[in-house]
Amino acid sequence: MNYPWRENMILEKIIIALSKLLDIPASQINPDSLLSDLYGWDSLNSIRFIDILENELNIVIPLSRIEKMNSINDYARLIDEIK
Amino acid sequence: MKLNDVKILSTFWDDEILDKKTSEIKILADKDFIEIDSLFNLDSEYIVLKINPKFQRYYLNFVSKTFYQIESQIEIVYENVELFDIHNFFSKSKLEEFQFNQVSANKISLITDIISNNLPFTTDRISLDPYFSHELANKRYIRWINTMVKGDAMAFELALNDKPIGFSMIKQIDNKNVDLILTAIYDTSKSTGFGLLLLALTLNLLTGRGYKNVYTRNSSNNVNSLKTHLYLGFKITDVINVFVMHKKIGITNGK
Repeated sequence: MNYPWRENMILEKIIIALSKLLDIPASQINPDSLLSDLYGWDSLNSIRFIDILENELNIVIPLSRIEKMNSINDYARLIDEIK
Repeated sequence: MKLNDVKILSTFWDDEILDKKTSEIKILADKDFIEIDSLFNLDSEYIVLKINPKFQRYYLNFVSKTFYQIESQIEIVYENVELFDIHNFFSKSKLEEFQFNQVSANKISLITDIISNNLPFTTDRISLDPYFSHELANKRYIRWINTMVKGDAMAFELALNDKPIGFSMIKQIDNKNVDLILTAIYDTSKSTGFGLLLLALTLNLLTGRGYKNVYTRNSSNNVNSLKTHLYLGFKITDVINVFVMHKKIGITNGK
């Protein structure tokens, strides 16, 4: 199956990371989804998610920006900005 | 059920804040027969009924009298509390961005002013009740916090780069036991993981002060908070189901 987000490497990495973290198929994760709407998303997974992204993408996500991260696209834009 | 099998608590401050004459009833004993009408004869507009799930067979009686379940209070305890290694979740450089400090009683408005604007309490029985509101729930918390710090409760604030993001409050039971009476993360910082940090820092402070057992309670309407407490080492000890009834809105005198 072809997913539009596969054309965006950062988005793809975020979705794959989320898929592994929450144990849900990547095909069920929409980039426009609110993180809070994803099954299994909670504050513990929020911390784990940031840790995974930082390690996978070799970046540092500023804590001050985390509060404004509501959707997967928000993270994609932030990472695009940081890298 | 006779009235000596229930405990009726004075709720004078709820009378004032909610602007309703209120009664809070705890069902203490199991009996073969429930004379529920006695509860309706209380001179109260708003009745809160707290009952252990072991009395489940009475639930239908309450529901038929227009009580509705608003939450379950989940009693939890962390026995022999241990230091939590926060570095498992936050790097040293990230932790340096946080400040965790006690807020003295005469500066408690630093917290209550934020609550007034931010309305962080959204899962308690007042906030979720369609006949009340978030605003009323938060006003009630402010009143309660002010009362607690005038006693011997202590408040601690968590800030990120000096911007407040939440607070916790504790009250000593004795020199080994402590009640974690409240933890709250402000709306803008919810689902960030900062709640885990707030709780871990509070527990580490309590451990450092020599407390052994930490008691608190979670609402069933706030599963994320419960998950965080259980993750850090708390265990569930009891569940109390909470029913409420607005007499003027519901069936009057149970008829």
